Amino acid sequence: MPHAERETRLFLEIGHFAAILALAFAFVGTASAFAGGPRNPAWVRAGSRAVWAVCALLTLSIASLVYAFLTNDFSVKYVAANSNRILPTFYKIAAVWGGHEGSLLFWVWLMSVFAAAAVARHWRTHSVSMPFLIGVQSAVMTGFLVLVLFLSSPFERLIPAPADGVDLNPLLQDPGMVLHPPFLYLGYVGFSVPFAFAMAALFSGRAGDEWVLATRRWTILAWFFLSVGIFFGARWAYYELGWGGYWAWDPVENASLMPWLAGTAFLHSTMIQEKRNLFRIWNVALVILTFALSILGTFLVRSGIVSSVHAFANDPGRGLTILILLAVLLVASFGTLIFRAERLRADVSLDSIVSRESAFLFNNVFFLTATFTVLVGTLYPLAAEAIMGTKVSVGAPYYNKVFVPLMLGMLVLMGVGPLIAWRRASISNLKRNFLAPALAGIGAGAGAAAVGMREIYPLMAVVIMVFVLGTIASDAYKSARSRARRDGVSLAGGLARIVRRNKRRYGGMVIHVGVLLMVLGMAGSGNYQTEKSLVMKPGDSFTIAGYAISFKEIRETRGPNWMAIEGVFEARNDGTLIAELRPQRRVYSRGGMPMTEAAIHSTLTRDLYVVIGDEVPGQGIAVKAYVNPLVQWIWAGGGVMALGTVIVMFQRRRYPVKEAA
Amino acid sequence: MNRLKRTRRRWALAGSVLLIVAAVAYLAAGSFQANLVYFHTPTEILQKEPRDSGPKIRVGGMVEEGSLRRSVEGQKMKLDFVVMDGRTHIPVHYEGIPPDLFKEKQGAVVEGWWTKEKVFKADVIMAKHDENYMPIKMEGSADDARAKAGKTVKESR
Repeated sequence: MPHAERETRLFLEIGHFAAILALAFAFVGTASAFAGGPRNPAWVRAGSRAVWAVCALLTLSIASLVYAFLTNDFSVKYVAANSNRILPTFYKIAAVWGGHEGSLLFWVWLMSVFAAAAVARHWRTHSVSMPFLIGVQSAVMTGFLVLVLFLSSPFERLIPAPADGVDLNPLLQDPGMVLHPPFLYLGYVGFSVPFAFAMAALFSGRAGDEWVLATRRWTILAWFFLSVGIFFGARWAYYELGWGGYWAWDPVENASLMPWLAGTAFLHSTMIQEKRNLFRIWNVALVILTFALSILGTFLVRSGIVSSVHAFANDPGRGLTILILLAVLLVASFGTLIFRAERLRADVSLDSIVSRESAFLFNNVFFLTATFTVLVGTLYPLAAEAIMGTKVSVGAPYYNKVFVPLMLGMLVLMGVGPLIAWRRASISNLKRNFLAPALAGIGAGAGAAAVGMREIYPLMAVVIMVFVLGTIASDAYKSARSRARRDGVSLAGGLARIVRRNKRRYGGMVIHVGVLLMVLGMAGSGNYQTEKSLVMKPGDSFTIAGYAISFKEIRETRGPNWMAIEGVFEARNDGTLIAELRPQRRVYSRGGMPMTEAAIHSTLTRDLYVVIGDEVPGQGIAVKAYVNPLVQWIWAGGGVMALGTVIVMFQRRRYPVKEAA
Repeated sequence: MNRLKRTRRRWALAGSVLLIVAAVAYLAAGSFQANLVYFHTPTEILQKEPRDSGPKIRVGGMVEEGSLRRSVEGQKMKLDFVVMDGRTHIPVHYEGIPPDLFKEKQGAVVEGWWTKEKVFKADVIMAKHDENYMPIKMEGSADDARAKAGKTVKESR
């Protein structure tokens, strides 16, 4: 073995050893924080140092794995299975989280970064919560490190080492796919901080409402990452999988949606605790639920027990371990909640059913019902197989049927919630805020019906969306106008000032506008997609939704690690050429099976989406075309939501730090 | 007086929450049963009552070598092939474009109806997704085939 190669191999051993040490330190962190408790500052300090050590050691671990990928060290089983010599460098790094083993290590590493950041940020201000914060986070890391090291180690060797590796799954070789898992994981582990703070509030029984204030930004950050992760996943499905859609209610998609729904409910209901001191027990329960669903998400994806694009192998051991971790988490946290709930009981109650408080309550009801709907659909097949031995799956129509009305209900609340008065809304308050938008919505609905829209849900969507947009616009206009008058500036200046003064409220409004755009895109593409599938030869043509598509030729092309056949199509509208579409069927050098590469031409009103499939000898090639209305609005809405979230995150804490030790 | 009001308010609140939850549960329960798709092996499918419409079922197994025929009729692609487990061979008819990873000697799951003509009329094919995935043990039991064929699939409609 050449000297240099031995050195590269040695680095991975150091990384492996670092991970083992990290496990020891995570255990030390758990033990010292809980044992030392709030009484013994020295123990807590030791715990905080253990958290730092875990973070540093796992960073070293991840670095050693990245290094193994970059140096093509195929004596590492994980590298040999997920990379090869001709894989582009970009994807070699992405391959670190492209498979089971690496992605779990990556998960714990992100968790350790969050833990260290949380300790650093709150060390001075939250010394009462600190021992529990350290303890809870270290305990979760201990559990996952056990899983990584004993059941799913990326450091395992393959002897003798193969000359070249297999490949990163070609489906994962896409820029969107490179970003999808890390963001999702950041979201999952991000919720560990509010979760740990909530636990600290329960354990110490002293923290009161402080944890909600302390974790506000953490929650928004985690929610942001999770949203971005789901968004990239949907985009990847749309651009890469070639079936013309972006969401299939696949169990693993559901796995990421559940914590998002619960997290969104949590995000909203903490505002009520902040402002009105209500929902205190409820919020603790919500954050436990959100974090538990994050772990469940990891379990569903990583155990391989669900049939899905994402599940690549089956290992009952891993699944069982995550399930045990989940059970411990649920029992411990809900158990504590039950014993400590009395201390959190609120001394105020809801004044009226027509109030902002109750709008938020209904928001929670809708979000949690949605979460439960998805949960039932996702877990029922697992339960049916385990209990009755029948294999069964739940079809997408189930979700659509339940989700559409739920979503419409949530949209109505999105219009009502931010404007309705606190405590009890008077008739004049309701009239002032909602009469004009409601009339605008009904008018728009009547207009849509007049031009021929007949289906009930799309009509309702039009009414509700215009209503919500009306409430947001009229609120922004009124506040900006009065500000502008008071400060003697222009209307635009007034708008800028109110946004700057209350970033949280208006950032939230921006997010809501993003949601509206997204719903517009979903309603359009979900209800009015057209599809055609044919076998064609060069020279043939067909029409779809008014577009004439002609098949010009078929040719061969190649990329760095793939070869492809490429169909050349021309799309015309009323005789004018609007696009040349070139869908491909790629064969990667290392994997035998062909992959579809869709050709998409997008405008604001619709996407023209063409894929090619199998060749039928002598007959031509299979072609599938879709016209997807308004899809681009989904991605635009995602961008607007991200912008709004960033505005919200710039809001500084507006309340003094209460928890002094 | 105040207390009475508060109690009434609570009831109104609880009532409306319950109403929402009940409405959703009603919707969910109604469409849940209708959208359950059961999975069977080719051997199990023989014992099923044939039907041309109504609830769909899934059959999983291996696509038999040499059985795949592609044909074109009026620009529509048609596929005929045989899905089998260790014991039973089931002819399948499908119209449309199969997913990327669908081919002979590979696991596949088809969704549709087992018709009176003793042909499975599929309207969805799901091919297994990971090509490094081990093939179904052909000498194994039907259960074995079922356990393996159901995993790692990608849908194509």
